[in-house]
Amino acid sequence: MTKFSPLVEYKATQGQYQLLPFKFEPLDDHDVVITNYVGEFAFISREDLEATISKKLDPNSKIYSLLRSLHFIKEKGDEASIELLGLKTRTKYSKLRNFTNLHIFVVTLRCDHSCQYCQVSRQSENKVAFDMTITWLKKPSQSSSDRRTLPSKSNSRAVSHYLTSISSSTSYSGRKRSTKLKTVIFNL
Amino acid sequence: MKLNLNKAIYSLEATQKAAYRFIDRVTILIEPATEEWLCEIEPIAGHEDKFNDHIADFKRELLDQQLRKQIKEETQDVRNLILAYTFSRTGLQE
Repeated sequence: MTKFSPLVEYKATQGQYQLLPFKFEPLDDHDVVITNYVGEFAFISREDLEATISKKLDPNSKIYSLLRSLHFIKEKGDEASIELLGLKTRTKYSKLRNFTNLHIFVVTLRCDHSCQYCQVSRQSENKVAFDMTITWLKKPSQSSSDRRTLPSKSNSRAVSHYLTSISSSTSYSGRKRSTKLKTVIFNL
Repeated sequence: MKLNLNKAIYSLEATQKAAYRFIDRVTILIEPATEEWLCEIEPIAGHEDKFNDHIADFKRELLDQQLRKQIKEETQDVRNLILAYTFSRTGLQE
């Protein structure tokens, strides 16, 4: 009596696998590249692609092992494949947990400099309509439904409002920093 | 040029996606008939010389799109399972 069953007992039978999500794109008339959303990829022939999808891959072939190891296919009972794909996807999108790390408050577009690196379409000093109001300043932290009620244009304010806005921005952001656990750095 | 596609073989989704990929080379109008999609294909100005090549490529693309649709439908449940696992306990859901 042998300790283990014959090798054939451990081999998958043909057609006993399941497809996992993947995409493909032809490279030329004969080959395609297949990818999944965690970044795994493989270059295979069109014949192998069609055999994969129609569940005709030979379980003993190299292409079968390759596609299984890269999580393009899984056998019954391969629950680790789904968990690994989930884990990799989770890692890939982990940046979403710290959604929007940088906030820039452009409190006015009025400026008498013309720096080449500046992204702002600067306005002359008398264009007060391009100042940010306190109402606008607080809008990003409010709900999306509130955002629909935004006024179509900023209200005109006096030049002194420029300094008031900066002051309000810094104090308001400071309060948010303490309540939302966000790191706020002021570059004035 | 007119191309008749059997509805039992080619879905509207696959036909539209294939047509969209060729939007810079040919214009394709898709009309439904009883058992077929009727495609009226015309070259865009400057692409008349390779019109026959574009038609051949479009037919290949149709098969690819149909295959992609098959993969998408077959893996829909497992895709949802993976995404559910991915975003579980993240606090990203409302």
